[in-house]
Amino acid sequence: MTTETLTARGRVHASRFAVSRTFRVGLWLHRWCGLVATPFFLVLCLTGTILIFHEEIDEWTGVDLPVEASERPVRPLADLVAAAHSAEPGKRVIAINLDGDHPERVTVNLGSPGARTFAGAIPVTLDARYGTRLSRPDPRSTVTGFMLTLHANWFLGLPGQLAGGIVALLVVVCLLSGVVIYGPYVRGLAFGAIRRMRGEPLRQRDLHTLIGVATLGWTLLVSVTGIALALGGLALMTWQTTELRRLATTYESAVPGSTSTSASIDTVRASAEAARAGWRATLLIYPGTAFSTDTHFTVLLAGPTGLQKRLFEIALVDARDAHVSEVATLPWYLTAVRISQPLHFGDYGSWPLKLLWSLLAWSTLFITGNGAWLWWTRKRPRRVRATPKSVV
Amino acid sequence: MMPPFKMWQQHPILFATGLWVLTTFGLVLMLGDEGIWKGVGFLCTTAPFVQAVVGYINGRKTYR
Repeated sequence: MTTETLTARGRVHASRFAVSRTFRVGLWLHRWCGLVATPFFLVLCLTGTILIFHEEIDEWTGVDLPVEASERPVRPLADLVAAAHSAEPGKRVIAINLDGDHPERVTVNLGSPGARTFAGAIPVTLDARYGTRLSRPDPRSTVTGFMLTLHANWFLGLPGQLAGGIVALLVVVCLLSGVVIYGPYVRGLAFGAIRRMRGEPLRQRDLHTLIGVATLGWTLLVSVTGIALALGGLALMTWQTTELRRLATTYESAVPGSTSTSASIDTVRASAEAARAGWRATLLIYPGTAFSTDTHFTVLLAGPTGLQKRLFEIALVDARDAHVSEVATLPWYLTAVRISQPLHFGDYGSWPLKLLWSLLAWSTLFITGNGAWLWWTRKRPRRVRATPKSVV
Repeated sequence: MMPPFKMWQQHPILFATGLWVLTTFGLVLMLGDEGIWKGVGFLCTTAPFVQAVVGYINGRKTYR
């Protein structure tokens, strides 16, 4: 069978499909989902591109200053908590963040005495070897912090986060319907063909289909993981009201409301890490918060290698004797949210992946813009103006 | 590097889906710690884009 025969058969098939109901529905979905999502997607792409380089930007703007090299061992957590307390007197410790990549930095989150969540908490970052406070601005007030809030929730909290998820869902529908209607537009052409001399709309349409298919996998993955991250807040709430409540009712103290913490924080950490060999504590949440029970620390343990590094196991440690009551795995929905994070931000392959991520983001931005342009300049059916009948 | 013309002509949607699977597979493979997985994953991820660039260059003389 010759190429010409194939091309001719393809065109006949394509023209049949192009008038089918499936094609028309696909085209409608592709067009309108794309157009509605365009302005929001533009903001997401721009802020997303900046966020790809958040580590570098934080370093350049002096937010993330390198800590002086020293052979000195890190101090016990109890000393660091005391140092944080003296820096912010009258506050209570809500949680301690341990940075796996920078063990010399420890962040103690302090809140007002009755606080149960991280809202309004003051992060005090300390040099773990000297116990001195590192002058770092609040991450929420930095350039990248601003961009992250805009990207994640449009400064609207949970409703903004869910709205972002709807935009991502529209993009997914736009992409899938794009695949459905792709065939008729490219049949009879070689892959990569751009007809340059037959008018700008045709050239732009060829570019739209070519760049669209080349970036399809990435855009779909980033959009699907975007939906998962947008649902992250709800997933956390679900975990709190189901799994955490179960743990709380199982292991709750006989004295409700008591938040005694007689065990040392270092013993709590050691017990949690001993419960899962090779896993290390990354976050220790104090008792009496929305993420722990009144008598237990919640310790998030990160795995040693590969995918496990990105997942958590949750150790519930008794605050009175540092006994590990239970080590729970993350439920599937929180696992999905955790895995979505690197796949959405592209921060796991160093500079080559960051550059590729930017290139793909800008290519996607281009086809979003040129798709809108194609819609704007499309041939509209000409209205036949009713000519007034001549008066005889 | 040009995709087989017959296959491309007969199943463009299948071909597009193949490129999508290749990218996703590459990105997931890169989550591994080993350098080899990162390298192979990166090649898979960039393959559709490289394919598009090569297709564009090859098609420049044919299509005007």
